[in-house]
Amino acid sequence: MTTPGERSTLSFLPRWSIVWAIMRKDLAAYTRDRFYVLVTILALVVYVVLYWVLPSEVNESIEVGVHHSDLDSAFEQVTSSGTEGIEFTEFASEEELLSAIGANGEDGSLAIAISFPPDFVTQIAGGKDTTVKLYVDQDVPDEVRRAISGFVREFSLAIAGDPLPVTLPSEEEIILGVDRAGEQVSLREKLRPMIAFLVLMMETLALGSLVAVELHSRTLGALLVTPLRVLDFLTAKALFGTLLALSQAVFILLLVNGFASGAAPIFVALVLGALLVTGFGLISGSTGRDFLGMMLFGLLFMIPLAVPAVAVLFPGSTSLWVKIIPSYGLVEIIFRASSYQAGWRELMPFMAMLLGWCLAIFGVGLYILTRRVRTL
Amino acid sequence: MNLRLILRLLKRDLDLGPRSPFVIFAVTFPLVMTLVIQLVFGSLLDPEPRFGIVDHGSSQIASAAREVSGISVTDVDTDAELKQLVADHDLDAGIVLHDGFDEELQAGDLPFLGLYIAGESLASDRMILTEIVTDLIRDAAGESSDLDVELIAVGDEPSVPIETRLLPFLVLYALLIAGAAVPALSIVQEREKRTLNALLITPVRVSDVLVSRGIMGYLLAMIAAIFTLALNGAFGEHPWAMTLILAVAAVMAAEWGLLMGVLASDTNALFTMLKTMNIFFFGPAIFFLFPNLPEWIAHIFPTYYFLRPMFDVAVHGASLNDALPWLAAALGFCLLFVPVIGFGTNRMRRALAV
Repeated sequence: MTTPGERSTLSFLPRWSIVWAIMRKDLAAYTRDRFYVLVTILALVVYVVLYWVLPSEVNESIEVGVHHSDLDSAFEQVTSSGTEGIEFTEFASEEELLSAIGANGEDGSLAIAISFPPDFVTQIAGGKDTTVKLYVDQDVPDEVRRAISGFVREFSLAIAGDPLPVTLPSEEEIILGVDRAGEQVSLREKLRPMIAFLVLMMETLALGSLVAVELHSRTLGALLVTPLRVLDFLTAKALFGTLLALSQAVFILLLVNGFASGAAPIFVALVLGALLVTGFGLISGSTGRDFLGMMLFGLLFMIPLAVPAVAVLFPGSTSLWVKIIPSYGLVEIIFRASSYQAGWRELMPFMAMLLGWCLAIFGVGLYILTRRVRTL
Repeated sequence: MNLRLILRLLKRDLDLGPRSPFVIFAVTFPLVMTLVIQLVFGSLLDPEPRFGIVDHGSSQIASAAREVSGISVTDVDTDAELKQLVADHDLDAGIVLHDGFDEELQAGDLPFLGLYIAGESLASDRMILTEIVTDLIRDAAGESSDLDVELIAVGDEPSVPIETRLLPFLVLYALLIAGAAVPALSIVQEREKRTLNALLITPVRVSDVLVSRGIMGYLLAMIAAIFTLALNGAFGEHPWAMTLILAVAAVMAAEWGLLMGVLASDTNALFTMLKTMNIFFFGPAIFFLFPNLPEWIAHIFPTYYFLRPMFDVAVHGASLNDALPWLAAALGFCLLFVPVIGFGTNRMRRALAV
């Protein structure tokens, strides 16, 4: 004689009518849960608003106001040769400059301003002592004050014909890596993988909750007395979780312009990502705890899994320990494909990594849940 | 009320509390939020330019660079390592100073300076670092300039940085989760699981249960708030004044928790209450975040009366005397809450049919 749980091992294919019935029931339960519906809608709105509110460009330059009277050609030479990182705005009079910096008590539009004395070139060329006024707002950081002071000093030495007394490498040797000056990835774009990841993870909690409720209230035990088999139950939960996570992730990426480039690899990554988070959902749900217990257990997964998405926001290479986190491949694919237009060839290692983790976590999730169900 | 029973109930709550995931969450929450805020607003939106130095001799340029404020300086062992760090954008720029660099510089021999800039670095960071390096080289070369750059600071006092302006939010969150949500949830769960009914068959009265939960909320609120302020280095110059302010704030948080606990019939209702009613709790924090908003509106909210002195002590160096009038008003609100909690308790008693 076999128990309902044991019966499942005798058949390899789920019965789709039963699977479909469970999925419909789960969808109804999901939409009835005010907490998850509210949190989901709220999160989607917040993410989309946050994305579009963030600046779409990176401001790489420091705006500096300048007033001078006898520097036309020298200053033109400096600005035309491209002073990287400084954007100059020239003012005809010192009064206008002071007004722009807010020195007369009004709100200024600039934070830094340089005022050269009328006979600056003559005095510098003649080796006479001269003073340049550098106006800075109280909020201007120390390093910027020092850099602008250095710029003024270097500018005067250039006029006096005194080059820097060192030999520098050629310009091609100085810049290492891909030169992205003027083409920096904005914070908004860097946030895109984070948004997709968080939406996927949110569904981990939703799926975990649906599974946990069945175990906690022991309705699954009752259901297994019916023609429902464990395989049908697992298939339904896995399919429902994956489709729920995938549909929301695709929807939100559409809203944040995430498919503008590299749509195919991003979609494949989302499918794998949805399977991955479903695996985590099955694991956290199999604890069979109450609502709060399951939510906090789910957070234990969410926090480390969020690390790669946070790491993308910061400059620099990623540490090895971050690279072995299951969500790393997903984040890198979305980031590289949408921000750097990376192709399949470049994304293949990340895709393989994600697929590996996806199979492992999904398998572990199914295994743990199967064992848990059999104990009922 | 029976003090002995209250203490026994409190002891049980404190014994069982650490096993509850929600209590663990409440206590660790300030740490997580502080880290997030420091990461996002500290180093993410306003990062320091990162500079690497390989000093094969003992150049004065390297030691002077380490003293420059506002840039992050890293000593690197080899040229290849520096190039790799710059290429990976783990540094924004770096220099290699060979042995005898300073001597060659002072002798006017135009020594070779290995200067490397990360392709992914911001143009502004490139400018800042190259200008600072240039300045240091000129100093090391012993060049005197006829130019004097007169630095003139304009505008009001430096504005309070955003991570500091978010401090009221952090403290309110710590107070709300630990001081209000934990006791509220504890009361609601006792009702849902009907353990409260069982308890009330014994000599324990509803008031004993509520007072013990209130004390638990108070203690947790104090711990979470002190932890949050300590993590953010925001105790100010008068730590005792700050402790007193937190003591009053914890009372208000615990009262808020009791009120929600007696009014909510189940967990869902409690979460709905937490989401909707907390505008009264968090409202004033918006006025610290956006100082240009008319502050008189904030006076409507009870929490403003402990947030204002807390912020002033933490940021503006206010003393206990400055805080006392605010605290008196906050305590007034705490007293006003007592009959409201009493009303809610009677309502709960009727629902429990006790």
